[in-house]
Amino acid sequence: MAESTDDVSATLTLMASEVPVTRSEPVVSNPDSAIDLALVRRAQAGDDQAFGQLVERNRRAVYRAAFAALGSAEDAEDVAQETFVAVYQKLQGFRGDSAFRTWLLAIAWRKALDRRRSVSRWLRMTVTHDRADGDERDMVEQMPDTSRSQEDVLSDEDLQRTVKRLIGTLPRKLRDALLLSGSGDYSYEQIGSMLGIPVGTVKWRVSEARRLLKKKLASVGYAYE
Amino acid sequence: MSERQIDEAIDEAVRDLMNVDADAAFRARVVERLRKPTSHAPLWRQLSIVSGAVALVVIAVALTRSGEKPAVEPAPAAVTSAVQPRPAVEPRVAGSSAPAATRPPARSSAQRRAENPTHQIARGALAATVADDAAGPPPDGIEPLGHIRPIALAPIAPEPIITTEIVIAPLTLPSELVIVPLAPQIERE
Repeated sequence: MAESTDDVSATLTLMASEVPVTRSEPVVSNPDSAIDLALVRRAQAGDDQAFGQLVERNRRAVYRAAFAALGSAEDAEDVAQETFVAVYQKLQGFRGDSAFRTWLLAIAWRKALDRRRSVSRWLRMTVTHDRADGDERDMVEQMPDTSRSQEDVLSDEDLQRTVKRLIGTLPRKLRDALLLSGSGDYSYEQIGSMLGIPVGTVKWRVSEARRLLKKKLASVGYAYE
Repeated sequence: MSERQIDEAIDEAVRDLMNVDADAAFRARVVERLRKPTSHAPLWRQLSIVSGAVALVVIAVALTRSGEKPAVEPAPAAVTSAVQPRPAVEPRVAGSSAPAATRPPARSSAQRRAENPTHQIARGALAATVADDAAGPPPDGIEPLGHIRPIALAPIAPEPIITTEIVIAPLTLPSELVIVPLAPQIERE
């Protein structure tokens, strides 16, 4: 993770070494996973400070996963909080068979999907989408056509805006895979675990999402040679 | 525009879209939420808890009421001993010439209970058991239960069936029929 500096890692490793190990520990190759696991053991022993550090270390990954699923900062914040509350309550049942972050992200994704399917959110988003559809229609009408000069078309700002808008029109499964992989916070294995699909399927969805995006971009004038 | 430029644009757009993070107070909010976790229970869970509680109350009330019933009802054994059997056929309308009804009369639920010995014994035995259980050292100010005398009912005196004599008379023949030809139609002028 980007926020885990060397100092923090060293401190946590030192703290982790003080934790008495009373059960068979899984083999952990990733240093971040090892630190997480040590913190989990301390939290399981009743150390709330250790749980706080787990929250701090993993908050961005959880928040971004929720945001990728929901597309709303407010909902992502709420789901991220719910996730950590649930993890705190289930922590005694965590045996360390998988990496803590993988387990945490799977819980976060499930909660985000529950929120995405909730009736109240659907109603709220329907109203928002009605407005957004109108905006998008206006935006598409303002899109450059193929007759425009390359200088006009090659405006980075316009292209970025267009790509972001078109990502929102992708099928959900493809969009989820694209956003999670593109964020740089998760490995393909973690994404597969979150989505409940094999790594190969994750890669295919990312590739398919990009192919569709390019096709949509070409239809609004951003064709490549 | 090359494909590489498009790919870079997609990568940058995704990175930019996902460049979000919770603020520094996130940890404090989680801790605060941990202190009051029940207020954020999902709606379906709250509903299931409420409906479960209501179901428990309904079952408890039903069980309580069904348990009280045998003790409240009087023992039917003493009462039914004095009941006399009714006549099998009763006149529908006194003094009329209609024949007596051959269908058995409708019986009341009390009669049906009296004619069902299994039901009767079970209820009586239960009532007796309850009475035996109640017998013991009397509480202060309450006299002990004495022997319950059976209720004596006077036998029902059925009224005699009064019917008038049925006389079968021969049918009277109709008078001779005379067929008259139709009158000719008068032409209109």
